[in-house]
Amino acid sequence: MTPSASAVTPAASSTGRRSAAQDVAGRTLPAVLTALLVLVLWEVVVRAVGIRPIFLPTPSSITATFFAEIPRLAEAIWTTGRAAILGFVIGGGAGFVTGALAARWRWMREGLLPMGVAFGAIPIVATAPIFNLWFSSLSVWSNAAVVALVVFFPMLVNTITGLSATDGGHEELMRSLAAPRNAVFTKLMVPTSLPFVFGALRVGAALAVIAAVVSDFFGGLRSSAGFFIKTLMATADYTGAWATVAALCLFGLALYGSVALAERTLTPWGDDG
Amino acid sequence: MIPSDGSTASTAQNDAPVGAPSDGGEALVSVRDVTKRFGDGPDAVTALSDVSIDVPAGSFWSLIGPSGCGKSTLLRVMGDLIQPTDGSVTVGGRTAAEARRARDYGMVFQKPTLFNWRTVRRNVELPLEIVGMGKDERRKRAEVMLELVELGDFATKRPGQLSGGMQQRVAIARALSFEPSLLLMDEPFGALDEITRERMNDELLRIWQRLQTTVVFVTHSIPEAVFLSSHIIVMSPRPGRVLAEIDVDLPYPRSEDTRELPRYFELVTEVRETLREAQQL
Repeated sequence: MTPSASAVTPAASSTGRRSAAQDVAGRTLPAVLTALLVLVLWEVVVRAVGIRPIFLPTPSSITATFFAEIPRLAEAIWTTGRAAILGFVIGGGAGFVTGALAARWRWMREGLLPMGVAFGAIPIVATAPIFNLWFSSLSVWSNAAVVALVVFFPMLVNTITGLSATDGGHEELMRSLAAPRNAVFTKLMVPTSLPFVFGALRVGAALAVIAAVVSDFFGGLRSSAGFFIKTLMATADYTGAWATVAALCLFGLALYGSVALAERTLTPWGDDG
Repeated sequence: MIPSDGSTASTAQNDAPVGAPSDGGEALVSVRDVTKRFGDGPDAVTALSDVSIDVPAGSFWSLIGPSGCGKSTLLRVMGDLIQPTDGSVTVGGRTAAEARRARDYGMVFQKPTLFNWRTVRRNVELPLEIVGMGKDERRKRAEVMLELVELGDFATKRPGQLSGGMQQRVAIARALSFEPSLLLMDEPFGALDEITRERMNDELLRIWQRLQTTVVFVTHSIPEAVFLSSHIIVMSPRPGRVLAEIDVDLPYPRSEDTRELPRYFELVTEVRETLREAQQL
């Protein structure tokens, strides 16, 4: 080992850590500034032009309503968010397991992939009333089922793609070691698939919230966010409806952020470049 | 084509200290009349034609030749990664397939092929996990192997945080971790710069002399082949066949000084002239 070789890597890795911190700051700051700018412009334009709150309330009034209504908003987010998370976990889990079976056995792939595509083509809106009938519209399970169906498809496709994305050199290595199929699966295929799986989870996190709210509009629980928005619109509380949208938005961001955090924790090699 | 290793063996034994490997052993690997064709009919390409070699146990053999001469194909046939169209390979009396299943092969490829989701140490542990060694034992073994390639301080790093030369040393530690009887290396240092490559050559020889394993090494670098090998197989392209065998009668252990011996330059010239003939065929 020469000094030059041993000196390069620690220096490089500490530079990497510093630039990662700068990276986060560098990415967060412009986003926050842009958001603030948009909110200020929104406020100014609405006031200057005199747009009526029925069409577009000001951000300041939405914020005020948001804080005033926190207990009711929390209940709405709890109801809808629970369905979103349950469906996300079930749909994601089922998609991964199905994808794993399909990647493991060729005949399963040939049988399951067309079915997966068919599932993906189902419009969510159409399934909501059916699931309401199946699971009772007063249960969280009908909404969770809609969410699961929506999350399932991207997870299935990405799992199959990810498990098949193994590097030829890695395959040759495992072959030279006479690795049994199960070892190839757990030690090579699954880790290779993780970035793809997390990609599906990120897409799924966004879709889950949308699907949960859409299914709220078809019956569903009275405490749900969708039902709450319908009620508020009917009573001309437009600012309240906007505050509910803002709360859903925050929930969606939190879900997405949790997935992104899990991704960074569980697949740290993604930053190695 | 059994090599006449009389001169090599005697030189090595006279000049090398006790424990240095020599070519005196029995053939560990026997390649018999191996022909490999890719494809069928008029489009078929003959990569190897009637190749027969016998690699003695404990020796360091290089396969050298211009690109397209089938040297990597020959290595892959030896390692049972591809099947020969004709002929046979035996390793220690077993077929290549049996030898691979018995985990006789440690392989190092041109790319390090490390798992970037594992730490350096856990990469070295991979073969040990596959053979079913206990956690504590394989951890200890991996640490010993990393010390051997002088990367003990990097055990908890990920491969992506290491330079190319260091990654290839991890790959060597991994290939040797389960003590295979045969180390097959396919242009392992081809992607490295000249300085790093020479340093890796020094290290590889040091490790080889410590472990006394048998090495078959594919390269297109003449100095590398002469510096490392006890015996060089020169191959000609299209179809790949053995053109010449050259015994390298430079004493082990070899060092920086070896690269300045007149005999070293003579051998480099000899291999170069043989290769030039190969091009003209």
